[in-house]
Amino acid sequence: MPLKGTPVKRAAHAGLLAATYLPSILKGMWITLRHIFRRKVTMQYPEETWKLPDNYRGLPALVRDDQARVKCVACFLCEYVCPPKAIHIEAQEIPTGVEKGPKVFDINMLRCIMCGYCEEVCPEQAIFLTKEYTTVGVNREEMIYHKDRLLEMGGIRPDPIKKWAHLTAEAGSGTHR
Amino acid sequence: MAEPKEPQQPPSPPPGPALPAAGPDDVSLLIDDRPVVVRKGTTVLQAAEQAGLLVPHYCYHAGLSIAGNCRMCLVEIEKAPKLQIGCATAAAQGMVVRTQTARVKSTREAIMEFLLINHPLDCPICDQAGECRLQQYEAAYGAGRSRFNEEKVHFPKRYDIGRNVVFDAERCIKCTRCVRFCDEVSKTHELALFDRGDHAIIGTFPGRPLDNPYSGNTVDICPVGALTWKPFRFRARVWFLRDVPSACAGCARGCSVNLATYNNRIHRITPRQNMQVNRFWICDAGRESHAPLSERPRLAGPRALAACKGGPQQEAAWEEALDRAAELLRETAKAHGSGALAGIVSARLSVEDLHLARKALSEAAGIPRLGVPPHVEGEDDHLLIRRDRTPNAKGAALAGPGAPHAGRVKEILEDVAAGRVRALVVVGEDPLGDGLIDAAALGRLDALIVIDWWKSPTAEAAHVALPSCGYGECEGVLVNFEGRAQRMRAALRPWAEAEPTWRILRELGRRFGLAGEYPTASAVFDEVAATVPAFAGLSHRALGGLGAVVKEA
Repeated sequence: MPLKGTPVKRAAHAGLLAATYLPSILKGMWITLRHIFRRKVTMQYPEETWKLPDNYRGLPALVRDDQARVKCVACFLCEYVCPPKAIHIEAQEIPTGVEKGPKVFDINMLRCIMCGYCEEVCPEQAIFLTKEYTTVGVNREEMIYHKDRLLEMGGIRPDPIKKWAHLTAEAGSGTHR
Repeated sequence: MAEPKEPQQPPSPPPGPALPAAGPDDVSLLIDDRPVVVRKGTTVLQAAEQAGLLVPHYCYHAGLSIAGNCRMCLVEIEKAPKLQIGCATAAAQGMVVRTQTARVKSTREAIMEFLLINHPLDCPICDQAGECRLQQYEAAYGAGRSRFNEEKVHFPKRYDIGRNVVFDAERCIKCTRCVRFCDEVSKTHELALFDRGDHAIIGTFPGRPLDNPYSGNTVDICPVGALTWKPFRFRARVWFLRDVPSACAGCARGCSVNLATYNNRIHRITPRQNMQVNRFWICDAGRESHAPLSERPRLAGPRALAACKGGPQQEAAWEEALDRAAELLRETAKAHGSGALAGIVSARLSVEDLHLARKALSEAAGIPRLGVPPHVEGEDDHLLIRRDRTPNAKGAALAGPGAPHAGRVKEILEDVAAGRVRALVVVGEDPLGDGLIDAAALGRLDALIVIDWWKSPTAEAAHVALPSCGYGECEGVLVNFEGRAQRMRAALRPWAEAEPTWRILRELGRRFGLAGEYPTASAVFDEVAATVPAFAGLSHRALGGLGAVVKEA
């Protein structure tokens, strides 16, 4: 089948000068030379890192409130909403204060797509996406972050809403049944 | 001359659907312009239900008396000056009911606001979330906002009101369903409503916790998260659960239940309405009848004794173990005659299992005696629990090796002890664990073949142990003491290498020339229907969700 279209017209010979490649080499060297005097754009990662915007979505982590209480109450909404099913929770009863908390809280960082749905759906503001984006592990097991590691990553995050304050107070004073 | 005036006409009724004619025991009424004919004495709420209209309600429950305290079912009735509660207003001839007017809607919104004023909104830690009437009705009829800025009333939370029931007074809306259940259904009268106004609280009397055999039903009927079931607390969120309709295998009643499964585990068992069997209720023992599945050690795969007698049990492939079992039976029959063979078959098994036990063991393998041990405990009570703890005694009598008979089992086991029976097949029973026989007597057998779902003491002593499916892992039919055949449904994948009992018996029977394909449990049941007159015309499909009564001679 014949090809359609108009053939590009090319000179039969590029010319004697071009055949020496010298114009192209000089042109390339001129570009390189110009860049020596420009501002450097290479970032010396990992010594230098990006300055991330405030709404950057990195790895998710669990946070504690200003009394160092684990804020997560194991409501399972993040597990439910998580599109790649990266979160696995097992709930447990807690003897004091808020009745319920996570016994197991695993996030498989190989599965996590940092979409932020977990942060958005959390009714307790207990899970946040950090600005951390480096995950390293030598096997799949290491890429599953357990509760303790997630809490360490999240740290303490003060919260103006003290939703469970009366329960934790009662638990502390011993009047709570 | 004035024109003759037209005679005064009565105002014509507004155009709309005409009321259908009602029989002498019926009344006809209009609900949201839909003509409805109901029996006399039916309430407006029930009539609306029959017409396919939902009138939202908290305190009304079909199995309990009318309390009329939640006020959620208020509807507009023509000629009545105020809104009326649908649950306590009897439908009358010619009544015109409206459930969707602006007045009804604004009232519902107000009722929702009242009910939620002191609600703690702890849905994230509440087990009811997902099946909570407060959530559902707030979404459907509520305003979706709160105007209440004051401090809410605080009540005891997480209070053990009974052995298995936890009470959260802050979540309670005082519908008194639980109180009425204890007064009217369980008749144990543990609960009452104490104090008034926003101090009102459900409570027990000193020294009398909510501890009756039916206490779990209060958790089911609680429309909010005030009562929660302790064994299920925080185990799973209800939106992950999948309800599989089945029948309880705890006693001869065979209550209709739902098995709520998630991640191949039964997390809870709740009653399924079946007015012919259990109405709306089940007992606490039935509710927790899935616990042994996770508590008892399971038989993972077939196990057989090493060739030298007395060696430890070793894992074997299915074919290998079945061959070994058949070989042992054959050798014993050859050496001591077929009179030295006997079997013990459980009436806890399904009709399919029992039918194949008869076909494979009695007919194909030529085992002359099959005993079915009875399991009797306590007394029949006023509601559901039967002293006969075998769920399929009637099925065993009609389609299996015979009705449970203690004497026949005793005779077989005495013959085992005396050495007259040399090979014993035990299906779904644990005579050693039940204390019917001692280990020394069992040890005298040349062949002990056990088919069971767990590592029972008898299975541990077996020459060949074959793992069968546990409760909720296989299909089957149970016939309760009233002759109602109901389906048990497979809610779980079988544990490890476990197989349905009927399939194990089929494979064992084939080694003795059992004909018949028996591809599925329903095919086995079809054969039962074709050969046993009592089951004539029945099939798995025909049994449906509520079961059918077998025809007894």
